[in-house]
Amino acid sequence: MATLLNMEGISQRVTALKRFVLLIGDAGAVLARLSGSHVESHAYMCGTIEDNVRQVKAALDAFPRLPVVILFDVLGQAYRRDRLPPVNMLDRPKIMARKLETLFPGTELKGGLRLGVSEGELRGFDYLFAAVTPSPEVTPWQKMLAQIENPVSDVRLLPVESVQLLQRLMNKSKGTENRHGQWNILISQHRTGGFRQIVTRDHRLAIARMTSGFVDIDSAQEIISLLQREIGATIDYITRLGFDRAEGLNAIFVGRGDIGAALKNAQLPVRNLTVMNPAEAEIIAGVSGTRDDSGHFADLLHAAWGGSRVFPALSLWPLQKRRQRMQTLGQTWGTRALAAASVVAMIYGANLAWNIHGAEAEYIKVEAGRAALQQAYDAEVSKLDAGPIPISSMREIITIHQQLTNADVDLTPLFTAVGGALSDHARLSAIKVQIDSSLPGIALEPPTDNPIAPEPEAAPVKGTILLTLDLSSFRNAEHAVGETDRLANVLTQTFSTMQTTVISQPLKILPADTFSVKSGENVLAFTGEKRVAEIKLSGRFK
Amino acid sequence: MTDRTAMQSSPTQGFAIAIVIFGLIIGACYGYLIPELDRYQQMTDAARDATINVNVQMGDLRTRAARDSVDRNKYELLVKDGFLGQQDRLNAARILETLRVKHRISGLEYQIDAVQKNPVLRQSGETSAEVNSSKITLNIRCFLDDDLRDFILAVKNALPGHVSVAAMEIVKLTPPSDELLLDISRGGASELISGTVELQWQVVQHIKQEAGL
Repeated sequence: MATLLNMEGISQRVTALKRFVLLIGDAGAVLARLSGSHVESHAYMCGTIEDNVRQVKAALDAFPRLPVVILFDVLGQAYRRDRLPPVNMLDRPKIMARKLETLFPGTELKGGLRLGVSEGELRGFDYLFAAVTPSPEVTPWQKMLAQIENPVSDVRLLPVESVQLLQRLMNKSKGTENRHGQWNILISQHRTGGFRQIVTRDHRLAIARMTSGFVDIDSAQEIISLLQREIGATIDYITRLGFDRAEGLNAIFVGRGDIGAALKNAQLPVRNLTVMNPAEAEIIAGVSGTRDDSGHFADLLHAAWGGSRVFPALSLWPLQKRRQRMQTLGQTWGTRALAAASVVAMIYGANLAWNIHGAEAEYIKVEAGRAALQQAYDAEVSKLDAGPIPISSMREIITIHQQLTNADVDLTPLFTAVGGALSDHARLSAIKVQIDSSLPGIALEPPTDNPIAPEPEAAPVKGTILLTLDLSSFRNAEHAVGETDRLANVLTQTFSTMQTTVISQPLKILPADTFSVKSGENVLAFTGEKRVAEIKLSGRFK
Repeated sequence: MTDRTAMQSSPTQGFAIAIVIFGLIIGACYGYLIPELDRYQQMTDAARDATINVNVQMGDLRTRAARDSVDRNKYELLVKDGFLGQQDRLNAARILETLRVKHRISGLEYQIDAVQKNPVLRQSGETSAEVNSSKITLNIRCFLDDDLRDFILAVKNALPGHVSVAAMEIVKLTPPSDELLLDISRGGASELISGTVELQWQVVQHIKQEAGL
């Protein structure tokens, strides 16, 4: 409950609901204009009831859109405690209405407060049913409610609503204890009535008594003696309800200071008595502006407390009208919420529109960049094929040239090697080179787009080289043959890809030759023979 | 009572109007503005992707252009070297005569055979160029074998197009006897070397495609 109160207080401060609270008592009425839980202005009407109604109507007409909460504090209040059977939530209002009609037939202002689960064997919930019975003091006010333009938010009972005020004051007062079954009493001095007594047990309303007729008495002593009797009567009454005098009663008095001081000295039959004026009480209660001209009447304190509550403890306003009011309120607040949401949505929409504007500009910029780049790309592409012939044809010609170059043989290394290997006694009389031409086989490989692809391997170039050596300087055939072999060995090492063969020696000593020597002939002395050797190299030049 | 009814209908009307206005705004936001924003963002993203793509293609293109430039230079060198076109035999005769004198070739006979046309085949079987090849046979007589080798090398370099040696035979005519050496020392000219060289003279010629093919 404390959490609910806190939340209610927060919502009151945040929303600062403006409303009228009309506290109707037997001796008059007070109309207060609230902003949240702050009393902005107030007016007491203590004349005849007709005058009071007229003044209130005039005051309400000045602000016809402000809702009004009616708070009854008249003698004609009826309370019943009864049990309702356990029914589902949908059926509960019907059962409640039937019960109220049974308890208070013909009464318009009636309602119920759920107290808790029933004790005993019968299942159900205990309810406190209350009504304002029709009377000449109440009926004009009821008629007025049908005539005013101001929407009626709720009709409440002061004793029921102020139970939580008593709880708040009791919790913050020093020396008081909160025990199970604790009895508390709030005595407050009202200008619109007299002395209101609200007695609670376990913070639930036990009884409420109004002692009127004090308006004309000014003497504190007389008031004290009267109050002593009234409080004594109250204690007698609650004793019948189970109050144990030994446990005592916590009491709070809100009213005139001299009466409070006298009450302290009067040894009331209470355990703790806390005396405060409305200004002190409003600080504890969390309301403000409740101090009137006199400084001691608690009407405004109760009006601010009971009228500012968003969730009343007990509403007497007929269910149909309450629903109608809730619907109106829902629509009003829904309209406001929708208006606020529309503003937020408009801001969101404006933000989206701004983003679209930015996105459009960004798109135009990016697209222009892309188009320019594409144009540059197209220009580069068109340049690629510029020239006398297509680049592919150029590459074909380059490839053909490369193939021809690969097939070409440089004979300089041959001449160098042979020249370097010949000894002083041997001379080259002839050299014959035959290179196999690969001309008819020229063909193009498919083009490759990979610039780092390896060059295709060149086709081997084959051929033969025939060297004819003049060995006439040699007088010894063995030396000439040796020279031929030596030169062949050098050529074998130099031209490793070719096969070197000695095909003719100065003497017919090769396996294919027929070697014949006549009697007395010295073959090694080289007589009359042509001293020539031939070396053939065949195979790959490269 | 009429006033109260009017007052009760006022919040209802206001609520209805507020709902309509709110609905219109939300409808405009979610029905038009958000899809429009999404559309522009998607178009922008697509344009960015396309830009990146073109940039990548541009990079490839530059690489290709650099490669093409290298190949163009090679091609221009080949053109300059006379590798493209027809064989100019008159010019070849002039070059051979010039080189003969320069390299002290005492006797030069040569024969340039008729052109053999070898089409260059692509993988697809198409032909866009042909190699015009002529065999040049040189019969040379000279004093030193170095002169002969230099002459052949010079012919290879000087003739336009590509020239390669297909066959070569160098034969010493006379062994250097004492009398021959004495004659040479007195200034007597003598041919000591005879050579026969077969060269392949090759140039490339484009085959122009007929229109419509």
